[in-house]
Amino acid sequence: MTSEGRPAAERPHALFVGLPFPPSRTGGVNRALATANGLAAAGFDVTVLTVDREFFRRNKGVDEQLETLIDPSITVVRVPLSLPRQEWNLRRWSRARVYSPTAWLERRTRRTAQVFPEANYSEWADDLVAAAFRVHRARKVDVTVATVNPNVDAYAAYRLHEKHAVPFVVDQRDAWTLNQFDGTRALAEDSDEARWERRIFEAAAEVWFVNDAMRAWHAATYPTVAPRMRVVMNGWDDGLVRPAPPRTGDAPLRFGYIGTLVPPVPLQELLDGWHSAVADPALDDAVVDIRGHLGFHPVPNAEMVEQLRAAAPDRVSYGGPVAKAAVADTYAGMDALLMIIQGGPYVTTAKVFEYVATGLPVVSVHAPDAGCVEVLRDYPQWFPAASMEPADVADALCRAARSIRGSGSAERDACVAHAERFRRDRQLAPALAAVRRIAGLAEVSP
Amino acid sequence: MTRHALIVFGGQGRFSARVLPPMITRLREAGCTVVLASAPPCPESLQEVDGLTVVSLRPERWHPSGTPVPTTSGSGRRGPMGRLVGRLDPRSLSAGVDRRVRARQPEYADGRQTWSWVRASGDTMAAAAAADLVVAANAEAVRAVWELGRSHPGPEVVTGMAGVEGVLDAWRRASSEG
Repeated sequence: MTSEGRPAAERPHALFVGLPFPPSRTGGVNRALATANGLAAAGFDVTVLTVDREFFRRNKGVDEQLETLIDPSITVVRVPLSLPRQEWNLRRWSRARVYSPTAWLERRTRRTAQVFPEANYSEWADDLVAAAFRVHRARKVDVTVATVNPNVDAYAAYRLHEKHAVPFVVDQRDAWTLNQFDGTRALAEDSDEARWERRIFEAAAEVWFVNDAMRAWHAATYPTVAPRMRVVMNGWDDGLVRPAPPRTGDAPLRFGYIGTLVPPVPLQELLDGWHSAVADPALDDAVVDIRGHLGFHPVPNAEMVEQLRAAAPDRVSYGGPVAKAAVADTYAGMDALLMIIQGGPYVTTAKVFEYVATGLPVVSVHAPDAGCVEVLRDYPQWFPAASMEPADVADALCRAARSIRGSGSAERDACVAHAERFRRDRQLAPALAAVRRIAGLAEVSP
Repeated sequence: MTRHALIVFGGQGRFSARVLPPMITRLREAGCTVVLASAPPCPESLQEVDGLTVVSLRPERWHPSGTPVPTTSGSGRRGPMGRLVGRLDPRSLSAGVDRRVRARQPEYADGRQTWSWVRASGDTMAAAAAADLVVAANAEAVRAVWELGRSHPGPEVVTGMAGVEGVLDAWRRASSEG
């Protein structure tokens, strides 16, 4: 054993810090899972620091099957987190909170922000850092990879670096100080959050972003860190999604959406466009099938429930969430996919990678400069709406319908070939090689 | 096993009223009987819910037009002689919030009012005594449900749809484990 308790012949030890981790069904969980599994495949013994299962049950929702996809060599350490602000059990509320809710909230926020300035998740900061230190004491950590959000994940990596000189990588999957939807600053340059972001970035060995627009904005904001910034795009996960079989027969066309619909997604724009198009002969008997969660939380977003209910006479149905393991089969039952997202160049979404992997035609209802266009631009069966106006959305839907009826396996094969470059392992490989280098290991491809 | 749920709805905001029909449906799907204690008028959206037991909280406080008659002024209430009693320190944070909310939404029924209406409603108190679950459907009902929880140790007392789902999930897990 070395002086730090590590047998010399052991594989290097990577600590992965990420609240989004199975069984969570939140955004980013696939990327986190793939990164942790990728680290294991790249030769690391991996310890994951994440939150307890109960947190997801209470706040975010779970997909139990995702846990079966964790590499069995990975050690998962779960650090409990309760979010008092989201506590629904009134027996756990204090009198002060009930009688002066605003004052209670302000006091609470002021107290936790002294540790780390992140709403809600600052509650987790001390416990998470303590857990990271325990992991390191038990066995020396060679490198940490922290994925956000929450940004407190990166804070733990920063503290471990500060105290024990463990190099770390921040996967800045979501922006913190940038408003990804409109490109403006979400938090002032002199805010506590911006100061912490700068401090963490400057200490990090690398900072990863999901698209080049995000990288460029942060590079301009933190020019000294720019050379250590990297784009690690999302991708589709082999085994979770596969090419859909070619359409056979003349059943009504099925336009589908699979994923979490989060406001302000242009759902109404899609439904209005569909309403305009539904009488077109190209869409004879065609249906829209929306699958997934409505909103971030276990409780469906009431406004979306109402929007979908109102669209039912137009042959729009909502089929509820799909377990990860059933996603491929669900895609196989669809004829075209609906890409409905909000935001501009900073928002790529992970969904677009799954979509192209199916080889199915994709109808886009989003801003023309949305980040997903980087993936869809050369996709052979892409039908973007020229605008969010109902007539343009209807036109895209009808073009897609006509194309589906006139195409066969050659078009499908071309789409699948296009998607090959967006496989998750291909996207991750250079980044994982860099993590090996940061840990002081030979730079070999995993 | 049939369980009994009491939903308390304070205030009459259209936005918060939207949560009621799915909440009632969800509880009934889970095999619960539902009693709704609502500040009148009963939200329109509930007129379609068949067989719902609705307890109207202090209807005499409401004008037939549906506009509530003010019962408080600022952070206090009017005593018999029209004098303000029970008033918070006007410099306090709570009083400031109260003033801002009332300025924006004069018909706002606050937590104090809802609790006093619930306490005065024999039907609501009886429903709480028989309930396995008491839900505060909106922020104005939180204080009343919290106080009900203090005086009734039996039922689960929760807030919002997340609370309903949380309790149903806990019941489901308890029954599958036991």
